Amino acid sequence: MATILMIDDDTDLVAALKTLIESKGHQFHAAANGELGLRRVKETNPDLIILDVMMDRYTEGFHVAQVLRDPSDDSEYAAHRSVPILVLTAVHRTTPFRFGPNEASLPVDAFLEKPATAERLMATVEELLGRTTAPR
Amino acid sequence: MSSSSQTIQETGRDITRGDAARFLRRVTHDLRQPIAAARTILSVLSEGCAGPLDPPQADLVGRAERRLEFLQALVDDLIDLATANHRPEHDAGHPCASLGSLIRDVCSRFEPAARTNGVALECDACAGPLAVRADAGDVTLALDNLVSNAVKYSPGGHVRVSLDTDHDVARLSVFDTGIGIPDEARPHLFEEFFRAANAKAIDPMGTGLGLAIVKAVADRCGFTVDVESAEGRGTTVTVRIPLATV
Repeated sequence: MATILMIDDDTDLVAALKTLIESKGHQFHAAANGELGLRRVKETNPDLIILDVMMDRYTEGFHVAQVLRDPSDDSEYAAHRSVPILVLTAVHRTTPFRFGPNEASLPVDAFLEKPATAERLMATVEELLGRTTAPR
Repeated sequence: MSSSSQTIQETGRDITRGDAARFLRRVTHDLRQPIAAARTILSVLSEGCAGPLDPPQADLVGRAERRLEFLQALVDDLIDLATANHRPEHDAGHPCASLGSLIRDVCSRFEPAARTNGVALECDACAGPLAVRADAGDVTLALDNLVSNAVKYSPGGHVRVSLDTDHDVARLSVFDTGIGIPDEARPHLFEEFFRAANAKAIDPMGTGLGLAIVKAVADRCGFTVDVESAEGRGTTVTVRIPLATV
């Protein structure tokens, strides 16, 4: 069983993913914005983070990813630096922003465009969890 | 004339194509989010993650999923139509330096759809760099819609995307052996939301915006679009784009 944290302000989408992820035997936590999300990272020590980009601010997800992946030795999130991040967003389709994983502005592991089917979501979630089977 | 109607008229005169496109983009974005959430919720239900569905429940969920799929396609096409009519300056991409590469990228994205529809999709684009006087995003937007139509309306058939040059223009052709265009539909081809009867029969859920998007891009960017078609035999759409070197 893995612990998954979703940072997204769409409460309906969060409810859907909670049902989906818990039905597969994983533990699910959620936060409605980046600040709460970062706090919940420390509290829940997740194995995977599902992250929205546009929340209170247009690029809030960028900030969360950059904070979590901050390479400096004194980063307060150093213990969570290697937690895989899956970005679930509609930003490509609805805004001029263009980016891909591993870019400096958004250092994450995978992207899924909303809406993602339950099957596609779980396949991506399990694939990312598979990369981190070794205990941290 | 009352002062209020005068104000409205004056305001109306000030509304530019860019304003309209920005408004449409904003509205469609706000529409897209709840549709996406509802589709994910239904997908979770149909997977049985909230408990097994009996056949009538599964049937109703499936119907709702199909309706939302259409609604999202419509919203996505409206976003594309807004972009086709007016690409905001901050959204300017990059000049299309290699039309052949762009065509191959588009074709490879449609490979899965072609396989599903039993279509042999052939990409006959020259390998060398062929720069055209156009934004890559605009060319992609037009070509996406042409290849999508060709694949959708040529079940079990053949689609070929080819590229050559003719004096100072690049000539991009999308040929298909599909259902073709009835004569009576020809004058309406580029009208928004128009759908020929034989297209509706193949795909009842189409939006009727694909060729309107192609025309809007062409008008804004200085491309020309020619359509040759015979009902029941197929269609060739040729887009001419000025070469960058001229």
